[in-house]
Amino acid sequence: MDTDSIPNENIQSNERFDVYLVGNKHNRIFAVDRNRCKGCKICTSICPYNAIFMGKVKSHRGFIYPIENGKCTACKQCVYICPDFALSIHDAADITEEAK
Amino acid sequence: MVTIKFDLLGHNNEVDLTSRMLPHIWCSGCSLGTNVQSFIRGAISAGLNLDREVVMVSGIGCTGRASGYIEADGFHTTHGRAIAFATGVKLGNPNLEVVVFSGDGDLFAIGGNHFIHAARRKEDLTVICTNNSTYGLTGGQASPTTFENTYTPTTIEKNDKPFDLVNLALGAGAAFVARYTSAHYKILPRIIKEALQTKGMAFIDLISGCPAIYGKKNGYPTGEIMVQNFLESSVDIVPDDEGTYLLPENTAVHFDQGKGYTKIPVGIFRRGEKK
Repeated sequence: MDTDSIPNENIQSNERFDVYLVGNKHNRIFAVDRNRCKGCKICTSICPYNAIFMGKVKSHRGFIYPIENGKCTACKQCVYICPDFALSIHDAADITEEAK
Repeated sequence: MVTIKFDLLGHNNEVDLTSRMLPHIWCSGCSLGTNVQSFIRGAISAGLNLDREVVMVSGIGCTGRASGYIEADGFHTTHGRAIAFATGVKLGNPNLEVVVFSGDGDLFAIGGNHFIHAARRKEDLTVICTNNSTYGLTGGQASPTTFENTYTPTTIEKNDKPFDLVNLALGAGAAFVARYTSAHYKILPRIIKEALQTKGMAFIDLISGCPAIYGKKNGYPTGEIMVQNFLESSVDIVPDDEGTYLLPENTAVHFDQGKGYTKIPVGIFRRGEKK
């Protein structure tokens, strides 16, 4: 992970997904599927808030993948245009549980 | 601090995608994934259950894989016979929504006759043509929609004049004819919904790109540049009573080697009766 270039502290990863808590109230989830992303950069060019940029580190498949920088408003434009089905936006309530 | 349940993550349309076959085989920057996603969103907005009510038929080529990636019943037919096969499916069970999702090389080169006669007979199909102006799967040979003055490995100096698919469909008698590009992902689900609900043959000329093979030599080397090129060169048609927007000079797509697309007239050229 290219952790130096990520100002966002709300990130969690496993071997397949990078998950960011986004939106005003941090009640949405922006997930990048590193298993599917092919690094075409279409998401960075379409994003209306410049909230995504491409990292320098390659995934295990040899492609660079997008990183969220804290400006995302969960508008779903990148989800709709992503040709690799790699990006997704979810409600945080569906995917998370509060740690006790 | 919240804990993410990674098991529940997936694409927003994951139920309608064949997850076990992903990641797909298409190149980086290819528009086909966007087209598949727009189709799924369109079919859902039309109130269809993809698994039960939709049959996807596709021919040979990169686009042929689409029938496998969508979680609907489907068939990957022999070269050019997608419409012939789909006609049989529709006659066998008229309750099904039959969709032909194929490429320009498959539908208009070897399958050209099937297309014009299905349009003439008003078969109740929805034909979505991913028109990327090349035979991408086999290495970028010239297809029936390859533009003049562009580079392909199989033509010298100059290609022949390409088919104008919108005018071909209008002339053959399709009930619904539209043209959009894959970058129009916002409006496409609405257009696909309208096409699915049209009685008779609905045809969508979906201008797409092949940045890895055709675009690299002809002006849009990456997916990023391709999407900007589509959005900049698209011109909305203005329907009028006299029908000047249907004249061949107003429906043709223009392309320059080195610049990419220079003019793409987009919009709905003919609306048919609803079911």
